[in-house]
Amino acid sequence: MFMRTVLFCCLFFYVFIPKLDAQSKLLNKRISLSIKKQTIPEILKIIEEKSGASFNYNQRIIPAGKYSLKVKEEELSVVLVFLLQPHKLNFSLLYGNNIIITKQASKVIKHTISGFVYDESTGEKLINANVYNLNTLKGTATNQDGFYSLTLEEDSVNLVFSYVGFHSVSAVFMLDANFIYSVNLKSNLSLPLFTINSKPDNNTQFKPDEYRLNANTLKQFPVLFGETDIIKSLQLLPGVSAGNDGTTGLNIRGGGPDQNLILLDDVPVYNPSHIYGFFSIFNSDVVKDVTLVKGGMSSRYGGRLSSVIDVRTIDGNTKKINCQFSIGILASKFTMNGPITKNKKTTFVLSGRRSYLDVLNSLTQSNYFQNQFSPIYSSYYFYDVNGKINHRFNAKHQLSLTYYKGIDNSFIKNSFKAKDPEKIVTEKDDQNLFWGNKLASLRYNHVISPKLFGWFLVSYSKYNFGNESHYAYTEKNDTQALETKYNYRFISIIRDWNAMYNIDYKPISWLNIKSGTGFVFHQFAREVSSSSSTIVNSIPLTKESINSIEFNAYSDVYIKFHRKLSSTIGAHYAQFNLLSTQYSRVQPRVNINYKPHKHLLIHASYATSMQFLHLLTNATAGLPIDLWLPSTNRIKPEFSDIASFGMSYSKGKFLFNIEGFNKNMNNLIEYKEQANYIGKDNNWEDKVTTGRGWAYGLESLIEKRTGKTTGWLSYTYSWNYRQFDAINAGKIFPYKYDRRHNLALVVNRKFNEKFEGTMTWVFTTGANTTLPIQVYYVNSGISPENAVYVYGDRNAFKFPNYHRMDLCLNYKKERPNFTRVWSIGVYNAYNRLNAFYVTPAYNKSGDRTLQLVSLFPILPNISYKFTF
Amino acid sequence: MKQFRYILFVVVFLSCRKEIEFKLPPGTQSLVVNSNLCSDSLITFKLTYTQAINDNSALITENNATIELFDKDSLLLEKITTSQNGFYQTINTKAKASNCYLLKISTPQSIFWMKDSCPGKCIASILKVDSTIFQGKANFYRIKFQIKDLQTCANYYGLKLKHTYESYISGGGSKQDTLLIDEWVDVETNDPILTQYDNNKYTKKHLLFDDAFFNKGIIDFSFGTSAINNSSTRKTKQLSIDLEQFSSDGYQFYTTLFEHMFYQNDPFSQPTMVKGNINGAYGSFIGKNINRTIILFKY
Repeated sequence: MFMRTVLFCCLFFYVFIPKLDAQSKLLNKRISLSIKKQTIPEILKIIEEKSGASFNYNQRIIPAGKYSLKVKEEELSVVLVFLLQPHKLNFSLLYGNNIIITKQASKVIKHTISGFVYDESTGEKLINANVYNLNTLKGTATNQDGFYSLTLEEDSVNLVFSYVGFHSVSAVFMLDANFIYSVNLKSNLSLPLFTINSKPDNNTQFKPDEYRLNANTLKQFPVLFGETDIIKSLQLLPGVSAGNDGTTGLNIRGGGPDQNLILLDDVPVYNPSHIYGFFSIFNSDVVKDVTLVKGGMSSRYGGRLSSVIDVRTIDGNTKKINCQFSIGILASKFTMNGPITKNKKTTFVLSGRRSYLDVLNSLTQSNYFQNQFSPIYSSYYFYDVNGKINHRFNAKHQLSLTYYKGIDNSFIKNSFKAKDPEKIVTEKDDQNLFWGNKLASLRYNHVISPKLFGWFLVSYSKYNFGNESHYAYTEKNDTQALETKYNYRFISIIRDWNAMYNIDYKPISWLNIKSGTGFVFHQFAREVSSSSSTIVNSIPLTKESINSIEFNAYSDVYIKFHRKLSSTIGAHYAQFNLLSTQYSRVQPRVNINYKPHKHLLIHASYATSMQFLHLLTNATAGLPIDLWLPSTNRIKPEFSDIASFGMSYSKGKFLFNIEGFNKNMNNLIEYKEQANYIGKDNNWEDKVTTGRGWAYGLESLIEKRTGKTTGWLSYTYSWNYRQFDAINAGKIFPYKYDRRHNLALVVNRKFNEKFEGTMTWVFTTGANTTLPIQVYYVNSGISPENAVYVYGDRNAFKFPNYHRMDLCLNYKKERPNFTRVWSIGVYNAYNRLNAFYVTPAYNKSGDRTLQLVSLFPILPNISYKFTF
Repeated sequence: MKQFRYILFVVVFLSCRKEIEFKLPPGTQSLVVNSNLCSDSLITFKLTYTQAINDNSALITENNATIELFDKDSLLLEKITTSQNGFYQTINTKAKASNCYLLKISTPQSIFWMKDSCPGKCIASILKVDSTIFQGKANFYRIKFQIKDLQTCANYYGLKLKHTYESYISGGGSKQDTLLIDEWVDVETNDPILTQYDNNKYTKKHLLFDDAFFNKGIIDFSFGTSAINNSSTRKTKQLSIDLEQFSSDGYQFYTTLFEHMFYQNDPFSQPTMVKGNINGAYGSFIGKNINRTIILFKY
């Protein structure tokens, strides 16, 4: 068997490959037919005349009777499937234009072809690449590890591999045994489109409420401050609305930013933001694939109500060492990846990014505070590091070690020293506000059999937020020394240790089973310490932690009932244990796809989700003072159900998608009125109240997928409400980001090989806010007349509509050994003053008015990227 | 925390402002009561009304109200019917420490009831004063202060510093005009008790604390000010230390008032409401004692 396979491969590569192109052209040739009541030989003769093909068959296997056939501009392979398959007849291309028609064997023998799909230039595995047999139109897609498995009947097959932004490859061979076949696809950036989903006009699992962006498509999003921000790119999709200007918050189908499960190589990320939300933590240089699931999510995912953002990083170039660095206005970064060993089985990725606001501020801000003794230096920086080592033992076994660390630090520093004849005085005062994520994972992939793929993951995720201050004062003279010290430190930490095992089983072509189980150990810790040389009531270092264990298991079954109808049915079970409190729930999920026509897909989905962790926030801009807290016996888990129904029409260059959704959320938490964040409080449960929320709406998308000008227009029309008994007197109020209209236009134009430009324009209904409606004056003991505001109903007012245009022009210069890209862009090109917040204030004539504060005026930016 | 946010936004990005017009609902005008129920003083009231946030006309006062003051046994102490620009004052009745008062305000539209008491008095004294350097500021005037808390019930305190100085302004030629200026200054401290209270992050000019750490005991505090900077144009004359005692309603009113003022223009916070003790009206009727200690500066 082995020798036969080897011989076949040799024959295939040396004999058939040059002919593949011409042969596939014949089967791809489009013809139109309108035949009424004719015998099959007569129909075949007409097809021969129209396509140039030559059919060979035994008359005895052809059934009698007359048949009708009407097709318009269909590929020959599709026409033959329609004509022959109902009569259990097969066809295969022999040589030249000769097609042989055979009777299907009474006992069908099936074999599985499996393998990986790689990027030819880097050796990266391609996620969600399409693999299908052109002869039968049966197909599949690669999973998140680039692995595919396709079980077909013993016959001649014409396997086509395709992926967005890459040349398709087809392979014709006789499938008479289980066969491992991995293929390299060649990148072609002239083809790729702003495609945001898998190819809908083949038979793979297309989901209208799931969007995918790969490394190639991400390159075509606008660059802001030298970065293609992944989260900001997702904000341009239907059903996704942004928070305030400049933030990376995602409000998906009416959910809050905390309801998105954000995964970096399967490890949960608790805060995806740098610079208080202006940048996301995802370095686009190391991102291979991003999937956004808005509804009908796979049962594999659990723990969040609204959506999944699954980010995959590259494994490292297997061909050569690849380096790139880029310089932007706010931050610079470098990335290096390539093989470590000579046999190229082990690869590495190392990437780092750092902002330099602190350096710039040190030059300009030394006298920000009018301190007469010492300059007070205050500023901010962030950095992050991505690392990965990947080892392929062989085609079946692979091990990956992934690491991420990101830190944000905002600080104020002050120090001075004074000397006089009598004494020496020194003083030092440091205050820091810091937060960051640390992630690590070890992943083992194993191709157990051609039909069964398994992977095991252990991971660690930590998010901490804290502030600290250190003050020291010393006074020395000849006889004595006086020393005063004060230290304060508060840290809130959430740590997750996670272990899971998953399998992906495709026993037959119409069935795919995905299952898995895992444990998560959550630790919610706080550290508070306060000490002073002069204070008697110092707080000793206090470490408190609450531990919880979450067990989960899931199973998803994909069944293709018919050529037109497929469904994924599954359930996610989660059990959460905290002290003596236990919550558990089976969360059923169903996806149904019906394809009545080759261009049309009708989709319906239903999913329930439960969220055991709550984000306690009183901030509008996703600030890091948000605290993650567990469900307790008083604060129950949040849960939701979401149903969606839509259809997608794809033909030629265009894709049109429309989908409606309805979502209900329960046990949402909010601060009670009159409650705000105080870090060292223990009584957070007393400060919050629970309520419900619901959202519904209609999403639509028109996408142009090919040509020099590509892009899309997305529009969402939706409603989003909340109701809490203890807020707003129990009355229903709109959610802060209840945006009735949400529109995004993205246009990408490739002018020539060197120049390409991107334009984005977004328009949304203004966010809601709570405003003071009346004022009165009271004596505070300091001032006789202090204005006190009386606020109106919660979120009763809308900001003015938000709209903004961003432009970006890339100039790319390629040399044999390196590539340089200059990016020049303008953020908010027509200088629209969009509302960041509205506040009462006094104008120049002394009148009290409501004033709109806007964050970003027009902001030009430039960046330079060098790759070698 | 707030400082950190603003540092970032101010330093990194230029924010822009513009006036906008919002269609606000016509809110109903509500009565606002500003009262002074301070022991050993006549009791005063200022009655005004709320106004729309974008209404810049003069404040509307209530001049046709009748105010009746009762003791704890509902015995009428005084009835006030005359006012000047909404200002009412008792003629004979002075508030007394440890006494409870009931108040009825009748306006042409409605009647409001409220009740509060003046707390019992404590004893406060200065132990020591000196000058040092504190948190980078020279000439920091440090005060060691002692409170004797006399009641077993919960007591609520406020601490303020008033700086009185002469300011010399050139009047032309060799003449100088002298102005006597009073200003409330920040109470600067790293005292363990005064820094325990989260309320005190809202303002440093009016620190609030209770006797949870020294109930019916004696406690020493250390605090001071760096506002005393004598020069050729100004000279400090005196420093007044106001130790206030509040009723629990008063303590709640001031903590929520300072919190409200602190978060008033903070876009990152939920709106906070000031908690008064008058049903159906804004403002407060709160009892307090003020213990003022004056430090005179002689040159």
